[in-house]
Amino acid sequence: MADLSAKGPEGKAMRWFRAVGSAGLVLSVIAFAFYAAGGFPSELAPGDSAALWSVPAEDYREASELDFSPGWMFSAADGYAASTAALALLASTALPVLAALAVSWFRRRDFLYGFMALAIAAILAAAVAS
Amino acid sequence: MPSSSKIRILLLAALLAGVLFPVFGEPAAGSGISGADGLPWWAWSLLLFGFCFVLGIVAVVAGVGGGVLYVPIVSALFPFHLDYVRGSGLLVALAGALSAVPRLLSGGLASLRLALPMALAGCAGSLIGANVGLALPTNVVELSLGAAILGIVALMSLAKGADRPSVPVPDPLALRLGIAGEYVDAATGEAVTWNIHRLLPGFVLFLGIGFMAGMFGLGAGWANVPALNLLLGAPLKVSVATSLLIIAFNGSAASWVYLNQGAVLPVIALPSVAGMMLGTRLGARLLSRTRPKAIRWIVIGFLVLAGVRSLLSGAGAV
Repeated sequence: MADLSAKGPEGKAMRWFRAVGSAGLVLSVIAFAFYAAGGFPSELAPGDSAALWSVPAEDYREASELDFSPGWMFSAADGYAASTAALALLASTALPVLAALAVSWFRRRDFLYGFMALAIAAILAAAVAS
Repeated sequence: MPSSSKIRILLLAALLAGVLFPVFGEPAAGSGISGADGLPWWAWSLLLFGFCFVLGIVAVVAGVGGGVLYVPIVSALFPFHLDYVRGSGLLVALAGALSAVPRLLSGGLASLRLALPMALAGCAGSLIGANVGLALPTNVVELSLGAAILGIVALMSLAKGADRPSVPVPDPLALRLGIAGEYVDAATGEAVTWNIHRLLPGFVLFLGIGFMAGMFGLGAGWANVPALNLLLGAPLKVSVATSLLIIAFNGSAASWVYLNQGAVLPVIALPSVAGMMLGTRLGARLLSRTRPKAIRWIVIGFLVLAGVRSLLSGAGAV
């Protein structure tokens, strides 16, 4: 049966999914609203971004002249990057959930599931750094 | 009015204010006109928001995942390159899963012990699939997407889910991993216990499902549910709930590949995610007043058209 207590794996996953997922969604909407309204100064304004949305991502990177190195959205202080960074936070919801699950399973001496949670987190970290 | 509803209304107002600001106020820097189509970007974003709102309603009523409808239909109707549609499709599927998973975990329907091994395989597959999908020429991806969509249509038309499949001999490895469970069926009030079999073939299959989900940005409910239900023998309700839990883990890996490659454009992704989430909430309320079977067949018809169009586009015929 599911252990929904504060320290149980299902309970932890439920709370972390709810908290981080909601925060990511709220931040994404707010950051986009500011970006779309021109509230954040931006190297790539919405109209400029839209002018390139019919070309492949490779050509988009070249034409926009932005630095798309891994984690680029957190290193640039402008509206386009902030709006993408908020979406990246939403996409990263699983990472804290997996960390909390690993802790919970290691505490219960369920090492196989603890390592499985860490292995998925490692794949996600590889994707973040790709 | 509950505070969560107020927050949702405030967020929607913020989104609309942001998108509509260039209409009435001073536009953000840039031409404001998108590519060759002549419409300003905010008009496309609003159209996309409205379209995804309707798509979200249809997805719930037809019992189809939003992700699998989004990519073929939006790529057929909107002037966006397939790279950005796939990037946004992954976020649409991920956001939908994230909004449902807490409730499914608290109801005991989503199984973490079943989801984790499958998510491990799916995550690795989706990471590889996303990289392959972005490296391949567009016409090859379009041809493969068209074939995949037609395959999904066949699967949706032919595969009949079993409410409680028979598992005569539970998988010994699954028993050692503690993959089994019990839930209370809300319709009958009956406590249902379940086991699974064929764990290793399932693990391999989820590697392939993850690859396709990452490559095409389709979400993966269309394949997760039949795999969990028909191959591994999990009850249908557990399969649907656990599938969403797996998407919540797997969607992250592929989304990050698209984010890092600049293939997630906020002007496309955010209206899509917001529209789809609001639509699915309304769809859930309308479910009891609609005829899901008829709508499901209409959706399948649209998917056939979108699949054929993708094949023709990949072959250079449109």
